[in-house]
Amino acid sequence: MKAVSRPDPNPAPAALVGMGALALALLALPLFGLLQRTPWAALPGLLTGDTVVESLRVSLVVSVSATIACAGLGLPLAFVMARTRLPFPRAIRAFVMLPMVIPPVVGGTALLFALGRRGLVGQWLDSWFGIRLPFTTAGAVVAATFVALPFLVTTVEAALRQAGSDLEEAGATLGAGPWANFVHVSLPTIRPALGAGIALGWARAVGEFGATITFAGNLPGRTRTLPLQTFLALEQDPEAAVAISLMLLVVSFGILVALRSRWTPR
Amino acid sequence: MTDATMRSAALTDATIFFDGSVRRGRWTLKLSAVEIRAGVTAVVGANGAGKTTLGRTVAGLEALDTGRVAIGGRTVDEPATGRFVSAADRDVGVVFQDQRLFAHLRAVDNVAFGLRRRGSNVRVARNRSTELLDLVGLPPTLRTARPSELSGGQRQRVAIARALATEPEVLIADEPLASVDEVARTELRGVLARPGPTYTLVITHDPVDVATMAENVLVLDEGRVVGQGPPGEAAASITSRWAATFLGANVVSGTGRGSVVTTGTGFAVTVAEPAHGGVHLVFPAHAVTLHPDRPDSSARNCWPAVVTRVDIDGERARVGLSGPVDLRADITSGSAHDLRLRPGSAIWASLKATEITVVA
Repeated sequence: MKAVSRPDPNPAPAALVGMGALALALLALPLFGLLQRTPWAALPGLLTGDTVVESLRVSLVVSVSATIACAGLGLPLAFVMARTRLPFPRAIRAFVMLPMVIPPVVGGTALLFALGRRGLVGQWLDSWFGIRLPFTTAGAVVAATFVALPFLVTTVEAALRQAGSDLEEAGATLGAGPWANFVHVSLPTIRPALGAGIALGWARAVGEFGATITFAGNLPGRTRTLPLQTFLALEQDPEAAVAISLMLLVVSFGILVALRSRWTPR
Repeated sequence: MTDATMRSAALTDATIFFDGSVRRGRWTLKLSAVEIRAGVTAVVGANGAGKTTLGRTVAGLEALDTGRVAIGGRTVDEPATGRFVSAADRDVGVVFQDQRLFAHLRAVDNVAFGLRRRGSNVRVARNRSTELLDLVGLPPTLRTARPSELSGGQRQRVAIARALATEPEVLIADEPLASVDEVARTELRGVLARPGPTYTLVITHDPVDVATMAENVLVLDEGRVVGQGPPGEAAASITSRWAATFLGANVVSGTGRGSVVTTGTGFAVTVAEPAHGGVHLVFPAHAVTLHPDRPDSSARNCWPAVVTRVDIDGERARVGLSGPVDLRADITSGSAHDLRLRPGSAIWASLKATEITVVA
């Protein structure tokens, strides 16, 4: 027997439904604009062109390295923020969130003054170790890490707070010291959130543009990632720009859908 | 060293010694030189009395603000000297009220966790854990189940096995039987009371736990000890109204056959719900009424008894009775006066069958 459709006893106000639909249209429309302009027949050729493949390689190297750096640095920070009483917690939280809200160009400029050859730390990196970050692939990794780190830290920290330290207490009574507890209790408990944080951080690193071009420049084969290539192609070869944009969009969309279905509670 | 201090030191060496305070938000747990003896001690008291904080402090999950805690003569927490042995380094197993099983581990690996952390290899730890899961009565098919696939009672069995796995010197069980059914309760009482840990602290609200497991009772009220000793003595020394009511519950053991339960002394008690096999009968002290002569009432159970003691506490009198069963009756001090009760008085006691809870 088919269920009879019943009126919703607690309906949303019509005005909110209308405005919400408008917001959704604003979010979805650009995707359809892109699809409508996509040269489907030429797509395989455009995506396998030398310049695209080269920037794809740079993008992969930079984004994967940045994601590893994010996990290696962000996980400890998230743990310390969630489990210890830090001085000035609000200031620390603001610092962590800052890259999410400042224009990436500002982030890149700041990185340049901090880690550039004459920068606060950069001058010592150069004179002591001979390390020069600006306009290198390593610099692009630093820029991508800078913008992606908050996504991982906030996701993991929230999960650690939500899990609480109850299980770690249980671990302690069973003989687990702080490190054993971290490895055998905390990490497995927050694994879904860690996966989500890594995926979000990676997606952000792949899409990074402003901080990269400011701090690491736009050198083909070294710092020219897919977003930079897209921007460049827009003037010379709009069809290629559309093709790369579509590829980045599909990847990002795919990550979000995967996160929804696998890592976040429904 | 004088004889007295030597004796006190020797006594302290065989106890959990707790002298000091732990501040938790608005209130403070403050115990003065409490010694918890070897064996099973029931820790009772109203909600917020400090039972859980006491357990957590002994386990090393809370730190003292002042004072000293020693387990078997070894100081584990003493703020004045900066000494604090972490929970991981104390030989204490904990059964948490909310179980706290590791969701990512199978039942058997939850139990093996402590052994693994203490250096056992996987195979040895799993074998030992399997034995313990059998001991607590987890069906073999559930050994590889995740906590989320187990019922509340099954999770509690795993939690008890996990706490016992490392063979701790101290076992702290916080309301260990609250989430299991009556049949499992009887079974698990046996597991918790079996020899192994030198000290077992069972935090409980259940008078049957006290009657069947505890060699000693520690009664807490608002962060203070208000009674301590073997169950009967602790009840007599109680000053707190709540604890008196709690410990005033009578627990009588017997063998059920239908609506009659026969005690070890051959006394037959009529009950309202059918009982079979070994059972405990639980009824509050105020359910026992006293009469100067054989009552002509509807109560199914009445018997002659002798008053052993009378404690008057304001409007209330607690009367100790001996007879075919020893129990306590709470009556108003007015009727205690009218009945002219004093130790040695012969009277009649009655108890309605409907006031009795039968516990398997």
